[in-house]
Amino acid sequence: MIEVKNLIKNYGEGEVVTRVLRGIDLTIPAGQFVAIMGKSGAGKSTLMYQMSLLDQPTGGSVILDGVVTDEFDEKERTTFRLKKLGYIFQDYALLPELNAVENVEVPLLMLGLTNAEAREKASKGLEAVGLGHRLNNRPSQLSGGEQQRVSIARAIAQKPDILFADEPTASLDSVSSEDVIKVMRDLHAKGQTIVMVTHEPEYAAFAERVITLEDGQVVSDKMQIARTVV
Amino acid sequence: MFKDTLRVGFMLGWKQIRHASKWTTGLIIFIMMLTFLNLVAVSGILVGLIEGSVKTYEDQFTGNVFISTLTGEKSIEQSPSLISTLETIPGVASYTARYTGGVTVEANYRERRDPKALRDSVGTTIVGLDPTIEDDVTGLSKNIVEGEFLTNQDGGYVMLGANLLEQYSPLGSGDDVGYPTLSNIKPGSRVRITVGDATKEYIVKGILKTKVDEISRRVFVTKGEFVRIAGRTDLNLNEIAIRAEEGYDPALIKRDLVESGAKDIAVVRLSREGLPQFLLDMIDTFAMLGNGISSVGLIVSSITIFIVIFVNAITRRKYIGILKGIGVSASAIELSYVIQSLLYVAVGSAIALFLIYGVMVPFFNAHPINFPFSDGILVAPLSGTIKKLVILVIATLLAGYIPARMIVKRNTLDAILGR
Repeated sequence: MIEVKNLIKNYGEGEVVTRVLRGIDLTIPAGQFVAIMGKSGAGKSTLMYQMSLLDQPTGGSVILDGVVTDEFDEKERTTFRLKKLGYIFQDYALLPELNAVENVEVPLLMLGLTNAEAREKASKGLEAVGLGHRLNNRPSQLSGGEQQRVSIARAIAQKPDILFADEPTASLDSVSSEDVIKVMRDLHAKGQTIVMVTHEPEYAAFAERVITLEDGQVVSDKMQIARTVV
Repeated sequence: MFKDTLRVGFMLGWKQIRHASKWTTGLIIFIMMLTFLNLVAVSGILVGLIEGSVKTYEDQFTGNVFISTLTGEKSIEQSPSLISTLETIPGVASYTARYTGGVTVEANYRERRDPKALRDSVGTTIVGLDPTIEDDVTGLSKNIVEGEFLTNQDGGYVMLGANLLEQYSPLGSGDDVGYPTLSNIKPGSRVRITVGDATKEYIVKGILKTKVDEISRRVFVTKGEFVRIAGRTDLNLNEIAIRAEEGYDPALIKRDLVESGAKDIAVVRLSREGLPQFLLDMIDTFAMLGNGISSVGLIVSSITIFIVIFVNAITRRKYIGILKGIGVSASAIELSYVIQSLLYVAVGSAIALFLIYGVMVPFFNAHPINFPFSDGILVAPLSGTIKKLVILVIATLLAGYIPARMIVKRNTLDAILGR
């Protein structure tokens, strides 16, 4: 579960302060698939960065699964991200010198799995996203859609409590985007909590809740019947 | 957690190395190799200048242990007894016994028309020796530059040190500086040698030229000739140069000699103990100079590694951010860069070590550098080399760690977004 209380994020100092988040309050229960929407500059990605502990808010509080994270130092935030959170980045963010299975293995090895356990789990994760035949391909040998699916496999390999996705389809063509959305839909069907930032309504339709931001504030927060057919 | 950090750090570092530009990696390794060579070889050759001189002195003159006359004495009393004792001491491979005395050597006396003109003569030391044994111990015959080495049958012949001759002496005629030399001497020339009241004419058989001044300023005859001209009938020697068996500590030979009472009748010392203090100080000074020069190379290579790792890390800032984002600890990321530095220094040093001990040291031992006052060798004791290796490794690891730390410490999100 995610609880956000009076979340504020400013950039800059003195007279050139940009107020990106202006006191946001949110609660996202476990197992929910939430889409965060809004125009460019509305603060949707910034909100996700604060909730996912990639950034430190200027004010307010982020509570993840009952843990108040406000006083975490950098090391604690990294450890928390490793154990509890998964990320899907817009541009896949794979390490170019590692092949697909090695990219997925990295967080598993950090968690203390043996090499064999990590390899097995990473391979299964890639098979689950339809890339069982591409284990040893490096990112440069994969299409955009395949790279994003590797990114998803990496994000979910350690079974995170919450999966964050930052515009996961923005860099993909429509076919690849649909593949990625299918994977996320299936994950949600298995009970995965997902927070997805997107500006594409057709993909937001797969979420059961849509939060819309404008000028750093929530202007709309609606439950909906999630679309299930791609 | 520490084990996992190590594991992931190694994996990331190794993968980066494997996929790095081979030319860049090769160049950095080459720089590390040169740095280590510089660290060892510069001071090694500077020290080797003096060590070469010391080694030549030991090889050609004193042996490993040197017995000489006590101050104020003309010769070593009870020499036959001392020789008998020496024969029983373990570790002695060979020794050569010498008689010495002061002489005047005169040349060109047959051509001198004016009896009032200055005579072409020099004062020096005459050495009576067994040429065969001497050559076994000191290999002096290798230093003959003209003519031939003496044999035991060479009564009436003499070998001259090259520094007594005008054509070889660095001082030329030497008249200006008070060290006269003999002119127009070559094998076959005649010289007159005077010891006390006794004078005898000798034919020059050979000319010896070495970088040990004690040899190059002496004249040599057989023992029999020495006894005849010097009138020495007591069989008391002046010098004994002892060579120890390979791998045997000469200090043990000296100890045994001292314990047998030799120190009461002679000076017993290791070859190095006879060296002037200034020479020993020069070794230390040259070592310091070499280390000083080498440390510049060390700084340059450290800066090179720093720049390489810094550029590498800064261009990979986004990936560093991603790694942190997915939960890889800062230590693991830093370690991956330290691993790269470690590889550079390990491979570079390994190549340098091979070059030093596999190529350079054997080469310089076989072909010493011909310096004016010594045959320079490369002195690279293993303990000193290991110390320098440790210094280089530490410097390189720091040069790899610091820039990686600087980049890793930056804000995770800024790194991911390339801000």
